Amino acid sequence: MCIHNENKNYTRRDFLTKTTLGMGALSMASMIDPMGLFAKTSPAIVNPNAGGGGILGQPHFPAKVKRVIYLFQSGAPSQLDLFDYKPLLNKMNGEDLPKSVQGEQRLTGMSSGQATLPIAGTVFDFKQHGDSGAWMSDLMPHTAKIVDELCFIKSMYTEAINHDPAVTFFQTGSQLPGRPSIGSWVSYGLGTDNKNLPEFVVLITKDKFGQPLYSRSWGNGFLPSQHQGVQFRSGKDPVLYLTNPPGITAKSRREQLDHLQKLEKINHEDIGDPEILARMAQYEMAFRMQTSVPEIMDTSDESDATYEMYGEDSKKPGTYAANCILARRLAERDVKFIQLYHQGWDQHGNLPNAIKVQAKETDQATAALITDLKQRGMLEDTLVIWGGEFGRTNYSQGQLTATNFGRDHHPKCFTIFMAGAGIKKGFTLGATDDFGYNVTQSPVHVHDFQATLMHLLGVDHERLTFKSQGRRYRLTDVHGEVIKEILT
Amino acid sequence: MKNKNRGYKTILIILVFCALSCNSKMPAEIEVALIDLPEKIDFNFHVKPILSDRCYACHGPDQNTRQAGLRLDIEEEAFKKLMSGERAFVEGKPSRSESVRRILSDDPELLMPPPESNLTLTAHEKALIIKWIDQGAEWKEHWAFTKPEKPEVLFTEVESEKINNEIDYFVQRQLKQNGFEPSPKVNKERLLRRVSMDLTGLPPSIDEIDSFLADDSSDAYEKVVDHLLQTEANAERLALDWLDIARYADSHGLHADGWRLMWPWRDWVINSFKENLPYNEFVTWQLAGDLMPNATKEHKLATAFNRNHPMTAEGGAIEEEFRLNYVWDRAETVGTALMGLTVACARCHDHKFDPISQKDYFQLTAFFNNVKELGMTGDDGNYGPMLSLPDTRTEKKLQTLKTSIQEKERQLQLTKKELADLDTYIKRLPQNSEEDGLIDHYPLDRLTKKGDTYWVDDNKNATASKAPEIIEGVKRNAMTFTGEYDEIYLRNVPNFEWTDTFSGALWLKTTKREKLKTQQLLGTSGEKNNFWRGWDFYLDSLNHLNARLIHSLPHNYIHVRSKDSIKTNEWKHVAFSYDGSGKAKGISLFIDGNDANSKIQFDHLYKSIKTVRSAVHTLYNQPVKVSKSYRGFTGEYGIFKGALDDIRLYQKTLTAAEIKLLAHTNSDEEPPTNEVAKSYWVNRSPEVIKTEKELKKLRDEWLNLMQPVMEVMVMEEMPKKRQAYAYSRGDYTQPIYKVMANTPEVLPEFSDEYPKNRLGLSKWLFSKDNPLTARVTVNRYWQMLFGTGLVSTPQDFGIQGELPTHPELIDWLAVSFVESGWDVKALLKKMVMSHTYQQSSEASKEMREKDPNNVFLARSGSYRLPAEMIRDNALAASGLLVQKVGGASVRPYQPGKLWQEKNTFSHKLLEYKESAGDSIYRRGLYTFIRRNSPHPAMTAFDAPNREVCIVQRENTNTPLQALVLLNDAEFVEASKVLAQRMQKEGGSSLDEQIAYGFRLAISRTPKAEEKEILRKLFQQQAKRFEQKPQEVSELLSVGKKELETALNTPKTAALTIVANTMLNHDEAYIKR
Repeated sequence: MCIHNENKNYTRRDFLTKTTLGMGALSMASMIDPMGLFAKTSPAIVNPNAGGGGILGQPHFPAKVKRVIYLFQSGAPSQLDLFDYKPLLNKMNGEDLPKSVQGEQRLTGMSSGQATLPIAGTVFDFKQHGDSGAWMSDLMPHTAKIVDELCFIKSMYTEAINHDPAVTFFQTGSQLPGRPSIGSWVSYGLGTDNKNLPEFVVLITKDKFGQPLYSRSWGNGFLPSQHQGVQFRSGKDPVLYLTNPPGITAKSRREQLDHLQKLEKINHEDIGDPEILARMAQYEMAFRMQTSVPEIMDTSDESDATYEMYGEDSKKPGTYAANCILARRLAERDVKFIQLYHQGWDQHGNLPNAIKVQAKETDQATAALITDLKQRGMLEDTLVIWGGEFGRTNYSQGQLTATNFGRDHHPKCFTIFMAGAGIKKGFTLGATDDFGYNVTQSPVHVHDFQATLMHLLGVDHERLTFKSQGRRYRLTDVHGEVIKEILT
Repeated sequence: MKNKNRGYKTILIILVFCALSCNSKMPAEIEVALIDLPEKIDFNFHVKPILSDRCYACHGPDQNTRQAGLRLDIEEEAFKKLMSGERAFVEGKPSRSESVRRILSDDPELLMPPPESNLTLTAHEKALIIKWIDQGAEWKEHWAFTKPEKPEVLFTEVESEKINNEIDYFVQRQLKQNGFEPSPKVNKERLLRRVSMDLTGLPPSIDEIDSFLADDSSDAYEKVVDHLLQTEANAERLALDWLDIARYADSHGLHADGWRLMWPWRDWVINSFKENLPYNEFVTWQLAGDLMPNATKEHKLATAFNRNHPMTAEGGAIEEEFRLNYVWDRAETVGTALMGLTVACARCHDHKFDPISQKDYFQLTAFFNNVKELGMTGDDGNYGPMLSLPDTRTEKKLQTLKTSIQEKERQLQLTKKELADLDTYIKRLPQNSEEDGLIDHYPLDRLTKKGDTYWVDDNKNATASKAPEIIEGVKRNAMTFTGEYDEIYLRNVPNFEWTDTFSGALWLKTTKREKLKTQQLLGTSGEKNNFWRGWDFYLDSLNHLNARLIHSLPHNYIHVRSKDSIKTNEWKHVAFSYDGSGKAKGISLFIDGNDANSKIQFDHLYKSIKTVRSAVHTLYNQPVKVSKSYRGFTGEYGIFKGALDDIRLYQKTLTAAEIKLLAHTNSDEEPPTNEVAKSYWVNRSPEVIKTEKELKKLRDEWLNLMQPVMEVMVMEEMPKKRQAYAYSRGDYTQPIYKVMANTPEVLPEFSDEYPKNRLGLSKWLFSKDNPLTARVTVNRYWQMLFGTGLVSTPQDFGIQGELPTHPELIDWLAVSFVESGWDVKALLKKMVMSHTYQQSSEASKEMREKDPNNVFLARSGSYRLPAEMIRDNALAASGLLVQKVGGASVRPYQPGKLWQEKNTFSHKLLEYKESAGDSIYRRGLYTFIRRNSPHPAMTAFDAPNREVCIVQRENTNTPLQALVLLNDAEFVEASKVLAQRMQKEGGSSLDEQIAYGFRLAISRTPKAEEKEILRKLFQQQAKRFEQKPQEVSELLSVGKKELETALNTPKTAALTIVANTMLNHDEAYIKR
């Protein structure tokens, strides 16, 4: 049965009654409901027997995936230089793109004014890899080694042609701001399996410049705000405001909170509002996070072998590689949705050089993360996703020279890959035409991708809804089909 | 009540059971459910919410998804005969009603709602429908769509000493009916804090507390209320909620999320609340101030309301797609904020629940469609239409200068006429008259390769990156331009101001005439990130000649266009000539030496046209670009195709005669006439030159004054309306039919007497028949004071919205509000003077169990304060608060590099830099809002990011909030300064100091036991700090505000922790 959340109706009274805690002599720490982290009220209220404390209580059906690591490649990597091998483009290099191929596709304002759309072949070598024979260019040698773990979707397509709407569409199901992000839906539906950490964590590669990131990509939209992603960052304050001010030790903070509790106990006796106790529970949770979060962020206990596997960058906090290690640590602690953002894939010009840098920054660590998860037996119930917000054109934006070119945004086809639980290994879904411009087989829309992601988590995307402004919203709007072909 | 009706219910069950038994057995769960139903089932309150929520998706207003021809939102449709011959509802006959059969069916083919809809009905809901039919199935119109009538107030009906006014009458009558009692009046300290926080967002000062406690007069409270309503803080408090509604922010929101300047509008809002501008005027000014008769600057400034929406500057964005989004956002904001309707649903299809069709939606958008605006703006800065806001002194000076300029212009014309009449000039031109005022001549005869570039005619100031082909031209050789990379740059041309005179001429032969594409001839005008600033001379898509001088598009430029067009594949001589007046009529266009009859396209230039660098906006002499524009990202690059020859640029106003001369192809033609010589010599006479110089000086002076004047984005109607359309599924590429401005059909008619524009819309909103506006407004103010509205969905008064908990009260308030002349302060006063407001918020366990959400109002509402007020309370308690009203937004402490890590596109908002001086201690209302990275401490407390109109904030409780109050530098600093204040002002003993701090932070005297707890905390901490002087100085170094040297003590450090504990006390951030 479908459970509709009218979220204003949770009552703290239920919580207190159900946990049989009287108002009196209990210590605050004993009241803490671990499921209540970042909660407006303890989700246990909604369903005290629920595993994860989400609104659904239990998933709609048995979940293959317990947690997701989404490696978002912001700016849109060129599928034609990485995965989608199109020898015809090299043959036709420099020729104007035939109108018959372009069809009715609208172009961005950046290349629609060009006098010609010169086809640009790739400058990278493509080879088949592994038993599955997956095509990859030589830009990602490490990933190429693990293709038999991966499932490529070469027939992704989207509706948006510019970054802001496209990223917003991918992450929230709508091109316009205002909707909850995927991770927020997951948090809202399934809650958390961890007692001390948020269920939705965001990691951003430090000091990368490129297309902007939008906080709405991990925002809660109209869902209660405890479901928004919490950004963990390298440095001394891994979560904003987590660290005590200078001169305040953990001990003195503990003493302060003990006295605050005593004051609130008096207050509660006077006013009788259970909200007071719920607030104090959050103070205790905050106190515990001050230990649990730095513990996660401190990777000094990782072995040399691990650093070696993830590459030289992995020792530098804030790099993509270091974030991949953090993602694994968060996954180990059952954080449900871990989203990395890596900027810099927007190669409108100077693609041959720029994409090399991007590939170098991400390739080894991506492969290492998947391998590492596998070695630890975690790939059994973890889903890893790698991909951007759209693809890139087969023609050059701006001048095409013998050694240089750029590619504009292309929504009609692009490649992403996934690995892990519930997903076929060494498998490729979909295909594009010889020009790498149109999908010819098994088109996968962004909403289909979202539906599949939810499905793997045990959620029927049509049944996880939230009523706002008089209608029931869902991640996939009124669309989305689960991509059955890629499921095990 | 239950027991009393048990007997009746049993009978009903039997009746219904009998009625149904012929078809199906009554399920046991329904029997049980029937027992608990109210005596009288009301269609609006009990049945319609079920129908709309579970049935309307297929049987509602949206005709595209309607199934079986059944429509359940209109009475006659719902009761009509179905195709099967049955009727969904048969009055008094559940057993004969098809709807009942369907909802009770266990056949998945028949069951309603169908299993695949993922919707179900509970037994209780089924029972409600059955009983409603049994009682005669009485239909009622939706409550919020019928005009409110003022209900009668019979105070005698409710005998109570706790009735202060009509509000109490309605509330207590309902309490009585439900077996509740109102709570006693809250104590004075708490009452004062409550009403101060609610009305001003600031805690009462200790003096205010003392004087209120000492005032035993019967109107002591009323005096406080009257005073609070008069304060500036009250205006700021009221403005805060309006800023959420208006989605006010200091950045653009989309993509680059760059800088915008809209705070003067915020000042207008604050000031309007201060003046208590009647609400109908307050809104009318904002919707249509520019259209009001004799509109003042303030009227126009108010319309910035509708320019607060997010805007994109993403390169490549498609203009029309985003322009329409802005138009639609305005309509949706008006829908949510003023009408309480979720009209946005009808953007893609007829509304599923409310009788709002897709046509209604797009008709509403048509009111907001007539603005000359851009879909894609630049990363930073405002874009037109704009309103300049010079201060009074500047405005006066500008006016004086303008008068002098006009006088001087007249004088110049007279001088010229006099000189021409003299007829004493020699009748020949000097030999090299073509060279006079010439900046450079570019014959385009040959190219020389120099490194990676080419020099044109061996002129190092004229370069090309690719080689245009050289062909035979009009004057020796010419160059052809075939693609987008063979443009020429001319680097020796001054960066013209519009007070300069300049002209240009060239020969062209174009091969292109393409829909929506222009062809640039010459120009410096740039791209979005430098406001398209500069000048250009080009052919439009129909090959008419155009010239523009641009400060910023789309509002600050002049533009003329030739009446005649240029034929393709023919050599033509074209020229423009400009006189430095800043007026469109000062630009002349010529084809083949003849005046091209230019028509003025736009004539509003008042700031500099000197080109600036992209993004950074510093002055930069952009080379004149030939054969292609500087525009990027728009898909319209102005590529010229064809041949060009013999370009000349002049630093003077070329006369018609001079241009005629240039247009001559061979020297055999007749020599220039007397007229030519005359105009030549007149223009060079010392008197004319002198007057022109003086004129330029005056114009420059005017411009220098005008240039820095601040401007705000406002609404401005275009002279000719832009046709509005309905779009299939809201897709800008798929207009389906034309629409005219109109209001939704289900609501009162849009009178023919109203103008069909925003002003008319405003008249309609505030017409006496409008059922929504007053209700929606009083509900929002109720929500502000009580935490929850009488309708708990303030954004949705439609069918799916919650029903009012006190229907008569909301109507009484709405009608009284209108009768008062839409007086917001009177409304607030009425509310806070009620006993309902003044009663205690304490509640027994029993009361909480009976009414956990305080629907019946037997106690006062509690809620967590908005983010801004939590901050303000800490600043006020410590004395740090700087109460300056209005002005630009400020940037208080913010951790991390939150701006850079997300976005490096905006130049002006690249790095977050704290504001200087004490402005960081201003009220939270003034904190800079960057939409894509709003202040994290504010976000933690649910401050919205202002991307969309919000009429109700989330009110959550998270560990992050605790971390902010404990660790944010702002709160630690406030604790530190409060600790100092406690010692300086609080008295000599520790107990007095603690009590003083407590009163500052929480507005009441602590109880003995509370003082004791805080004293123990102090002692414990003081001991530690005495042993660790290092920690004392570390803690006391937080924040910019330095303590008095003598107070850098372990005691202050320990008191800082005590003060911080007080600021973390429930009563510091929860309204009680």
